[in-house]
Amino acid sequence: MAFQHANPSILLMLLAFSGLILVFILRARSGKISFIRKIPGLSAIDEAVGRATEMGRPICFSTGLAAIEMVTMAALSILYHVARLSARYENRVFVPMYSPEVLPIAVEICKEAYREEGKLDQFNPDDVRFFSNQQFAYASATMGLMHREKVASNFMFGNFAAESLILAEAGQQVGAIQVAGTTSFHQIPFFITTCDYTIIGEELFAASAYLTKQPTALGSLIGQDMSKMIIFATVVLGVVFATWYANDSYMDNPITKVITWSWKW
Amino acid sequence: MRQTIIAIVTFLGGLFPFMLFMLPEKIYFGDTTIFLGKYEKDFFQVIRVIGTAAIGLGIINIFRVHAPQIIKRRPGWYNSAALFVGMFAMMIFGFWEGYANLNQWETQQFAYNVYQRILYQQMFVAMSSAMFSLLAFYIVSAAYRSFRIKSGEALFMMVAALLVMVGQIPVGAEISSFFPDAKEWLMTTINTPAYRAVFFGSMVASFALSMRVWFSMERGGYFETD
Repeated sequence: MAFQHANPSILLMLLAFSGLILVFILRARSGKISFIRKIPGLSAIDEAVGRATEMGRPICFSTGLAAIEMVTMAALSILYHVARLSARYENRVFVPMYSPEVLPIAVEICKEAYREEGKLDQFNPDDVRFFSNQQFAYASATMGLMHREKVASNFMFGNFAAESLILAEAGQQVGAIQVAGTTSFHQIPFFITTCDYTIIGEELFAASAYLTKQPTALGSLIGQDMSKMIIFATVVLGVVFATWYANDSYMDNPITKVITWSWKW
Repeated sequence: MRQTIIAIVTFLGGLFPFMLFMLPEKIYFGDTTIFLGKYEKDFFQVIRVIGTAAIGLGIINIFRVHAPQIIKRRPGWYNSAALFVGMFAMMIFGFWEGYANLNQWETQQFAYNVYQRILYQQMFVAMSSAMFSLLAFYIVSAAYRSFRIKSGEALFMMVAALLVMVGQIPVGAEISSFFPDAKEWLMTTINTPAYRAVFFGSMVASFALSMRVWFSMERGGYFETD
């Protein structure tokens, strides 16, 4: 496997990002918590779980195609919240799994959620089911689950590919309220057209902070936003320098020199 | 104590790939050379093996869920039986094809024909293609349901979508060269920056979360609650 290596510029940028994130985490832990805007999709999660409970129908929560990646971690943090609400309202949540590596993590998360609500006896580990690690086998199995169980709420958070529309349409067919969130840019339009609420890109990662209001997560979220300001400033600088040095050699541009700065050992 | 050990192991586990990415492959200190890349292949091989072993967890879960369905003859038990038939057929002929005695060409050819040609190509690939083809109908159904011009922004979006669709097909180029050019401009000048903006945000957020997990700062669903 060919492994790509960073250069000093990347290291400096990562140190800057890390420093910002750590500073804001420490600030949040000391009580200085900044404002976070409302994210409609995340606010709708509680509503969707409540709706499913009122209708007496279960919930389906899909974590997408990825294995143990950051997107899946973010989705699992939402699963914990959904599982806790389901346990509180004594409802069932089905978790169809694509990746066998994530399966035991999801089982433990749901079990922990039920334990926190004091309803461990109601937890059924078979509700977290491995279907297949083949894309369309997983999609058809999840469709079948939604139709058989007549789910009232369908959550899709994680990495999705072509099966996103198949799952979303199956949820539409059974009349489920649907909330989806993904970083897969090409699947976002499909979710927007079929789901009631869609969470785009980084809002998925903000879910943990938004739902739990933990200082560490909140501080990290603010640090991320400040890091994006650095990226924005870099883009603006790049545009300015590229325009200034448009008639000169590519290597005369200071931004090029920074990007191509390499280790000298 | 347990939390401390977990935090240390987590940190050490993430330290090697981080150093591999950040530092050059070979680092020279005078007469000494530290070659980090030497351990790269073995390190990622271990991760792949652990990931592959997780398939066993999935198979155990399938047995746990579907075996009681068949044993207790619950409604739909025949679907679970079909699942086991398919699973065992793929496993048996797959192993047979892989480990057949190479000197017995006819036996290996039989296993190859059943596994690769019948089970995989003619059944699995065909069924996957059938599922994929559902997308064509679902796109039309979703678009018919949701594309409504209720505002100026919706009208603007529809015009852009129409230009891209007509520009994408060969007939659009036959009608006028404006359509492919408009489509190209929309996709490169308008769509690509939006894609990159979402990508930047996701990557920074992913970096922040991975840092929190690496330093064991994440709490709640994975560790103890605060």
